[in-house]
Amino acid sequence: MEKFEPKIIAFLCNWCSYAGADLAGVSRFQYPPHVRVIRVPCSGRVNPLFVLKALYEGADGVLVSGCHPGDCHYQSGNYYARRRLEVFKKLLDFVGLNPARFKMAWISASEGAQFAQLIREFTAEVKEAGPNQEFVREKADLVRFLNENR
Amino acid sequence: MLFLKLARKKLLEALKEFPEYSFYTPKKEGERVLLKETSPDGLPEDLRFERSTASAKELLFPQAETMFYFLRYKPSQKPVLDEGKRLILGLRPCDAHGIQALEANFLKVEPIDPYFKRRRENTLLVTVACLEFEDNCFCDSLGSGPDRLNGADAIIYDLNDAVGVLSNNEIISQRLKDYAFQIQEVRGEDEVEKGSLPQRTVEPLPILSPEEYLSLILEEKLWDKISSTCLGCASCTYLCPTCYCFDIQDINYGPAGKRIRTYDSCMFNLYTLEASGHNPRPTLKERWRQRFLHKFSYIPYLHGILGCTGCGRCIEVCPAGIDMREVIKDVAKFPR
Amino acid sequence: MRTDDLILKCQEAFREKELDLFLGFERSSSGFLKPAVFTSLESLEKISWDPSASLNLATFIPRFKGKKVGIIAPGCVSRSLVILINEGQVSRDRLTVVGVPCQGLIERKKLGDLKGVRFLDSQNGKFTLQRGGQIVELPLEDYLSESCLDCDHSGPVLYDYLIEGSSRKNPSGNLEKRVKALVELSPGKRLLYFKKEAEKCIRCYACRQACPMCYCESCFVESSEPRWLTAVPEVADNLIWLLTRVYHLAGRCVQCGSCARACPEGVDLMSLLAWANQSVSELFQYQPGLEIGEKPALGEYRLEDPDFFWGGGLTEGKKCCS
Repeated sequence: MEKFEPKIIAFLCNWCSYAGADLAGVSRFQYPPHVRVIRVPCSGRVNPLFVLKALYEGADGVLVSGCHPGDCHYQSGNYYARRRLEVFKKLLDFVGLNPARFKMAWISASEGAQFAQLIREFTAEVKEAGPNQEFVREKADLVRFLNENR
Repeated sequence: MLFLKLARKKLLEALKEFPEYSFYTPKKEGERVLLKETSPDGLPEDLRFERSTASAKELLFPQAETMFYFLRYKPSQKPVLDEGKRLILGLRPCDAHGIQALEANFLKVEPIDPYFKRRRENTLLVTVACLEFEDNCFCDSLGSGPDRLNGADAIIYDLNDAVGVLSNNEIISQRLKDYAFQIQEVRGEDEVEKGSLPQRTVEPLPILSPEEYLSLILEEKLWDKISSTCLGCASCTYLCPTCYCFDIQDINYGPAGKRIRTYDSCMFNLYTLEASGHNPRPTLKERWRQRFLHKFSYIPYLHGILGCTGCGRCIEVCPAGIDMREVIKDVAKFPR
Repeated sequence: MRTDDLILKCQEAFREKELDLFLGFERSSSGFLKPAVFTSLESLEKISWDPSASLNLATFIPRFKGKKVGIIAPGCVSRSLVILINEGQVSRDRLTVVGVPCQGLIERKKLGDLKGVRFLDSQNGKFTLQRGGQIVELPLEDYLSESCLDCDHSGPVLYDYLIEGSSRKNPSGNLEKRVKALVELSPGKRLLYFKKEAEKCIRCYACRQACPMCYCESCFVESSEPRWLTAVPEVADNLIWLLTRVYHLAGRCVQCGSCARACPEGVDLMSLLAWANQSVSELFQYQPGLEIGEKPALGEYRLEDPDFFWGGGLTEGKKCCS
């Protein structure tokens, strides 16, 4: 069997977590390459539908990260995100989504090392969870058609 | 048109003459009655089936179907046609009426719908004349049942010790011939023996002509009253045997994609919403007017048959308890 | 509660408050109550209220913006009204509420083969149906909808006029137990269960339309840019629909059961809604629709809210579905 290389989507807030990821890069901290970053203005911008859509389109793991409580560029965006995403995560767990697939984190602009650590941990968890078969959309017929017509 | 009389047992035996067809009958599953594939061996000898929760339309015009696949820059619009041969047994005459209305829309006017056409060609519809009315149905008022052939390929009548099969379909009459003890050439339902039919005690509903209904199109008060408690969901239109509106979407995967069509409903805001943001049917009043007049004026005017079959499914599922029979009465009562 | 009292009280409200219209129920030809909009004193003589009703009337309120509306409200409807007021969908001074006692509402899907039968009457914990010349008497308790069996606010919490009478007491706790049983299953089994439920959905959106809290003029399912899900009723798409609707209702749902009764396919919406509400109430000590002026649970925050984020305070000891 082919080795499983997970696809991970990370929604990172522009002011802290994205800068933290950048710092991890310039500091040459090593972390696995499976994560695709989408920059959002604030963790409060993350509509839970983003998470569902990512899983639906075939992501194996989704990460949302923003500024630590108290550090939000917009004063309170991350406090709203904290409430909303917690309830959302509970709901996903309840319907039986593997809890390893969705993670929320606080990463500040100075936490490059922690960002690398987070991605290492999360990637390992998602790898253990295996390919996403829970919420992914039905596309077998399209894949077949594409292979036949290449 | 042939009328064949068969012994009960012979009819079930004769089903083996249709080896290339898969059999579908209404089957109870939990609270719902589904149209499911079954083996021809396990059929009830009395040929009594329950009315399916969704109408027979789902087998000929499913809620979602793929029309064709395509590649970016290389469109190949070869339609994906359903080649499965089906014999659907145990439908009701009202279901057959529904299929007739779909045929009028999909097959009688250009452009002819290749998907529906192929399915219809591959399907044999066999109905059973109703022995009793359901609580919510009213086909007798509309002339679409309980003993009419309508759009079916054959209808079975219960003649106590035997069954009568009236068919206008070559395949069915040819293959049943050897099993029948009596064969008769007839012109229609009125010339054949039908056994006992259900009797209705309540007064038939007043049905007006398409032109009379059309004359009410500007009566805002009437449509306002009818639609006042409608929720604007689509449970009635999805389950209606004659509602055929669909929406088209593309689903992509890399450079490949497929075009699908799914049911749409005139009760939705999105149905008529234009790109500019303007909606010519902004409230439920206009949407109800459209739904009612489409069934009782436009379809009869264009195709000569009523767009309502009287099956009563919309009455059964409506979460707001709107009763089509009361609506028909209210409309007829309204001063013209 | 006598119907005469109800009619007189509603007429009194209509006259005194100079209402434009009144939302209530009237008897349909099948004997079950159906929602009706009354626009005159005389028409109010037809108003009625008993367990054969099904919809939450508050779902009609956003339709009559700017009008002076009267409404009959048992517990759940009054709580929905509180939320609608809090969320700015209706102003309190344009709303006149006639509180009614409630014994619970019948789930017609439980009636099985009797569902097309004529409803006659309901008294003393029983109701009667008529088929042909036959009269059947059934115990109300066996046919109430799940949400009503579990109701802990059967009497109105907000009213201008009140009809005296006894409301259902002793919530059964069945729904809570069912949710608990689901939580105890393995995630794989839960997923299988909810996929099976999602399979039934035909996406008619009757649940959304029957829900007083789903008042958005344009719903996320109708968005074409971005298109969150396709219109094909496949499991993954249906799950996105069900989950997002439930999530939007977390901490706003009063568990009236209007959506579950409206669903033509009998999808298990109540366990999801109950779980979402339970999560919100456990995390933020919040009960929806009890207090005017309160903000929705997910529309506000407190500094001391529990923090389960990686890198936050409470990461340790966190368990799924605990």
